[in-house]
Amino acid sequence: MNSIVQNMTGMGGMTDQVIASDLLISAKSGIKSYAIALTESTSSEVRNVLCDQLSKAVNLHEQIFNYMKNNGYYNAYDPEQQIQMDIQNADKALSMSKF
Amino acid sequence: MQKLGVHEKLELHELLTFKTTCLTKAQTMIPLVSDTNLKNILQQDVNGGTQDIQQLKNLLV
Repeated sequence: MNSIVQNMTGMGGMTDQVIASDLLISAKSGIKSYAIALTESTSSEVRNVLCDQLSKAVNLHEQIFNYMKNNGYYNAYDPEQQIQMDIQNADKALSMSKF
Repeated sequence: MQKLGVHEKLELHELLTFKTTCLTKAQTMIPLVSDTNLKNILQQDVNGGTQDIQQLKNLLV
């Protein structure tokens, strides 16, 4: 963990983008998990809790997506440019790994 | 808590571990973030996540 933190602090302005992307991916994955869990629920008590938390997760996704869009981290309307950025980020991540 | 199906319990377990990891990660990330808006979103995620975990725990015990 220490070397990761050191790496990230050395990344300067990149850190926010990486953390935002991670939060977006987590929000997406959480929404899917809630939907799956909901279809396995057998009582209204469980269903209500999961529904409530699902709607909070959707709200978090909206906030983080808007944040990324407004900061130019996520170009949802120009896939070509987004893919170019993805590749740049991938190369940056690869250059930070020791292998 | 009333009885849960095994399939249901496993999904709740899955969600609880996921949310716990998210909460830990968000708390670790907050000091690394420089943008105020992003910090607010993360702080809000920490607050909401804490409540969610408590609710999921209550369903499981």
